[in-house]
Amino acid sequence: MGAMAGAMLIGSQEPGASSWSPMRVQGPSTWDILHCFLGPQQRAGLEEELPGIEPDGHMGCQRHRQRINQFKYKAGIISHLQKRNWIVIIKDVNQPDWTLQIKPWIFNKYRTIWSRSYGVTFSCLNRIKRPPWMRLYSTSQTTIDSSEVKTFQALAHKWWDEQGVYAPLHSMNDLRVPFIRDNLLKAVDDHQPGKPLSGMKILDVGCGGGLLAEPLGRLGASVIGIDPVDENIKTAHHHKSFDPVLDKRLEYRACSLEEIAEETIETFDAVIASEVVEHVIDLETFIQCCCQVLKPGGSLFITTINKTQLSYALGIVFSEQIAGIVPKGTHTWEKFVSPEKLESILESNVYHFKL
Amino acid sequence: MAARLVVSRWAAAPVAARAGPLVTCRRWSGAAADTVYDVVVSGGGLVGAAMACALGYDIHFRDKKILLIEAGPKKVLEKLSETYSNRVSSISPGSATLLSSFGAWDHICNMRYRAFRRMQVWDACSEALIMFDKDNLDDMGYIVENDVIMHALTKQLEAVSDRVTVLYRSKAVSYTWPCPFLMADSSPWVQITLGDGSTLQTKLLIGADGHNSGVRQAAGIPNVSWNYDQSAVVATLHLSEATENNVAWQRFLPSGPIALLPLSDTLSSLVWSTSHEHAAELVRMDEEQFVDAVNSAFWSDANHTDFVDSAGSLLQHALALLRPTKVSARQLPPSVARVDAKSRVLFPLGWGHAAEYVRPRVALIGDAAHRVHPLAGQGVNMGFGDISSLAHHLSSAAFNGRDLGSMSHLTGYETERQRHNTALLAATDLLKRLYSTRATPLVLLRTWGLQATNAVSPLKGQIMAFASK
Repeated sequence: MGAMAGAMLIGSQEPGASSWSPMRVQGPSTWDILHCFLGPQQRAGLEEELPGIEPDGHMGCQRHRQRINQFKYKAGIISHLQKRNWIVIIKDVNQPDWTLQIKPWIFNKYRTIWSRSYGVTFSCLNRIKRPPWMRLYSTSQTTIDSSEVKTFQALAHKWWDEQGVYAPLHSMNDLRVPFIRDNLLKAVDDHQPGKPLSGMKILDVGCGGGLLAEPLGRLGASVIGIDPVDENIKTAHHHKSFDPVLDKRLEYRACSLEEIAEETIETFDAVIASEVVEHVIDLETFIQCCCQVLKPGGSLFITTINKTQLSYALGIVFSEQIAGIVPKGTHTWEKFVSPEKLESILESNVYHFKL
Repeated sequence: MAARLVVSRWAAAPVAARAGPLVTCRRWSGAAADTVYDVVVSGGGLVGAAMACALGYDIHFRDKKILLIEAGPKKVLEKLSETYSNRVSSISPGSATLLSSFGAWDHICNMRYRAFRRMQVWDACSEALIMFDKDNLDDMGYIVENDVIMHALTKQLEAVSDRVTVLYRSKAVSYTWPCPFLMADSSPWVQITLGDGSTLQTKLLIGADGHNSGVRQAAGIPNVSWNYDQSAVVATLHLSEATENNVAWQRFLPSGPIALLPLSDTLSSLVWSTSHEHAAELVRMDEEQFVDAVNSAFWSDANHTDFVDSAGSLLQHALALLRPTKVSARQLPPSVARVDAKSRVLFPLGWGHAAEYVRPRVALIGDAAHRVHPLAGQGVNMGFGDISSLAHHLSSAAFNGRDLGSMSHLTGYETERQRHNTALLAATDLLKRLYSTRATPLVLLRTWGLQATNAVSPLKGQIMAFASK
């Protein structure tokens, strides 16, 4: 497999282009290529189906039909794409290397997936709907961790039980809400007593059952809460529906940050990601999207558990396993984020910020 | 079906220790039917109206809706009457601070009140006495008629009528409590049904409806209470001669304490707690006999015994040796010349303390939470203390955007006030029982105790500070 290392494929696509470009895989033999598909893959294999004979008659397709048939592999991320992605492996008899062509035939959702597998990089290219001035980001699905989604789905109805599994989050409101409120008030000169945050638009990423959105709504802010778990949004919506004042000020949507980022660029006075960054996959993208939707001069609030020995001892061993304060499997220590890491991400993405 | 569902889940609820009566949770039929208030104060007496004022003037409650429900009519006092009312309260400096925080004290000052600077308490069965005063003779407290306080509070409530709505002649007939968890269709608010059939919802219900509190009974909060075998007689008395009249007098008779509170240079208010029969007799007898009874209650030495007298003077000499400073001689209260016609009224006395002051979305303040003997003049002051504490907790909760009915800050209020009130309630009950007897050992004990306490100024200072809060 070492021979595969260094085989770099470039897949860049002009948006709007409907065709795909061939990629070159350098490798000794078909078998090796297929073998690399078969081996344990980090992200995704490719789902393949065999085309019929192409009108332009790629020999490789015919010749290796059987071989490809024998090895079925599933796609992880691509399952969200339309299924009919044709893979054609071309061996140009005059050339020592193989060309891997992927022809998307029917697709209506477009995204780019980068996948690295044993040094072979290949990409399925699709048309991406985004403004040309934006860099290519990995879009949805890459910051949401599906295993985390499953964990939280099971607990969706327990959000508002103040003595239940979410009791620590309820009591953390005593720290979070004054912190957010005081920092937001510093940015304005005068405010209405009774509704100090009125006129502010806040985005609560990973709002869960609305534990943090509701206090901010009571203080006068208009809050949009997003969460990937549908049941959480339902619980949050249900809980706010009883209070006529909150009903008007809060809005919940079951979507991911990336989906809302495209519609709401530079509209929020504050973005809050509280106890969320230890559950996302791609932290850089997440922070980039957060910064995108912030107004100039807006504030980004992130609260999370630090990645230290103590946080392992207290946050995972004690809280989950011994005392049962937090349900098992809620946190993984590897995904904890230390302040230094956050700072470095912020520095590289945001050209001007104040901590 | 909904009721059975409630039963099964009640058993599993971790707050089962506070399980109340099982009522079906009201189905949520949409916001259009009822207004959802943030706070409803049930009971518009001194404590209830002051609570509504305190919240109405709170800076963090500007966006909130507050309602005060009062069963009686609106009491409008166009002109202050010449005659003083016979129901007066002793307002401590702490309560005066609370009243001035929402501007009611200014109205009281413009009407009338009397400050007193010294308090003398002595025994009928011995020579022992205790004299309270502040070092530089500052005001120890104020005697204000209840009507005057009520008028001041009403005026202040009218000034914030955009935030505080007052419903007069309305009585809450029934309450429906929310389920402890979020059920599919049930309203999370407390629902109140009024006498005229209308309903309203609230996030927090404050019960300030007196010692027979409907809120407390409906919530099923257990209440420890007993009736004293005493009734209090109140009257307005004219003194024989005009004096400076800034001393409050109280004498412990075996039948009960008799107190004279200054109202003006020539007028004082009487509060005489005595047995039911004697109280009825006092109200019935003609004015001359009544005045004689009052004077002899204060002046007569009939209950003295030689033994106790000599024991008392023994201790007095010992104390004089240790602290040869001032030896306060017993001063005599002013004598009474006549009583205001029709000002004699009696009311029964009792003791009560609610086991819990708070439940989810419910809080009790004032007499609904605690009822005390008037011998220490603390009843309404404890209520005002409850108001300061609860208003402080609710204000910080509102500034933190918390749900007002949440137990986290309500239990903070309960802890703070229970600690203070329990001590005071126990002390007043103990004093009442200690001074209700003529048995020599107890008389001796209390004589020496009183004399010793009188000699220890720091101790007296502590007692005064505790009672002034």
